[in-house]
Amino acid sequence: MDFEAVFRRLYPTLFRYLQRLTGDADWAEDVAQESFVRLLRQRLPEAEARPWLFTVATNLVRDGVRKTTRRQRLLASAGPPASSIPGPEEERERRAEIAAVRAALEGLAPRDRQMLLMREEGFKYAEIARATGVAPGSVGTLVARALRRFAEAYRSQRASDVRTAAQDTAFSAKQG
Amino acid sequence: MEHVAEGTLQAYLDGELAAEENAAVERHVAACVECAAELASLRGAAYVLATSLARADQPLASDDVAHAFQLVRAHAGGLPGSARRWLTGAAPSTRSALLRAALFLLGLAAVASAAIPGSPVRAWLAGAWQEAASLFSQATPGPRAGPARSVGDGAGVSVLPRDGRVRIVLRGPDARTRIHVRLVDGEAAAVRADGGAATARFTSGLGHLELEGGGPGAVRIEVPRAAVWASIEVDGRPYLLKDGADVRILAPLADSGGTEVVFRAGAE
Ligand SMILES: [Zn+2]
Repeated sequence: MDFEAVFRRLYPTLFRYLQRLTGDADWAEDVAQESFVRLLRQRLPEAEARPWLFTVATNLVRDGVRKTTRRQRLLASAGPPASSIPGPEEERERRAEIAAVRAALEGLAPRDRQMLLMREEGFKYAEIARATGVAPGSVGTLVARALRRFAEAYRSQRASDVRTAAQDTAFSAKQG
Repeated sequence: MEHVAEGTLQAYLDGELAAEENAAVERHVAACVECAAELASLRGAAYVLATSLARADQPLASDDVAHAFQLVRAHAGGLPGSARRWLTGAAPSTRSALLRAALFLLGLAAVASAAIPGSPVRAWLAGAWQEAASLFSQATPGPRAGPARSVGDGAGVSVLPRDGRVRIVLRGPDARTRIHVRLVDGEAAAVRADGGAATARFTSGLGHLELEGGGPGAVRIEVPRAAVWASIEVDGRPYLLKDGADVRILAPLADSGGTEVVFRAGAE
């Protein structure tokens, strides 16, 4: 197998999955890279490499594995360049969006979260069933229930954001 | 008429049903308002999930994928003999040899740490690394890097990062050449070649600087602390990567201390 080609195809999907699973892009990168290092020793065909990587990566997250290099903060360096800092409105909206997604995902059981996120990366029910250890026939039902739970939690979180923002606006209007 | 089960509706939406069952669901939903509503609600929930996740994602640049690949390749290059002896417990002779082994092993941290989680060796490595790190953090600001310049009898060039990124590449240096790296204040990255290395050919552009050839000597590289991302590569192999505040050493060190780390161009 051409490892580099496989890496280029699978790294972005694995990274996205892990970022969504953990809510931590640095950790997602560490785990994705560690999973590929382990894949190198496996010599699997690509079709098998994909579910294998996701399973290994999910286990690494569950076990709390982090790469030590993350803590190698040898030298302090400057913060992000000024041009990449979004305006306060944009920043507030983005933070609210991320918080709502995190809260909704974290309200799910770990198995349900894994199912939804694997489904987002295009896995078939049979693969999801193998990775999560549920019966293939129950994947549809479990996915449907997890989806509804996610959507409900997300919507209510966003609705309360809107109420808070409206209260803030009313408050500052009264002040002014 | 019996309604379609929720799981079957979901499987229908996800394209998981065989042709026959698929057709049966379609027939039923066309005739049943309740199941049509269920289907619409599941479709809506799936849409909320997909779009909200995408909005919250931190996007991955193609540079990030290339950078990750370099790291994986470097980490998977296999442990050198000295590191293997280390892991199996043979005591190296001197403290500085210990430190060098530690620095290299930590460069290979993905392999080393995963191989021995919770081991005393790992804990020791972390301590040794901290010690090395404290040497680094005492670094005093280096001289300001100016525009392209000639320095003494060596050759020197400096470049500004592009979008905060700078890549320094050495091609075909003499294996004996020592590469000194230090972090500096200021905006520019600078490379100076002394001794035989001064005969290297320099090419540079915004965010990138390349040295080709050159005899045995010293190459001194200054990486701006302010760079968001910086890499030093020798013949396609990453030696050092700076990613935000992280500085990762990816090749064995010939020496370290004071304000710099030193590699040998022909690292094993
Ligand atoms: Zn019905």
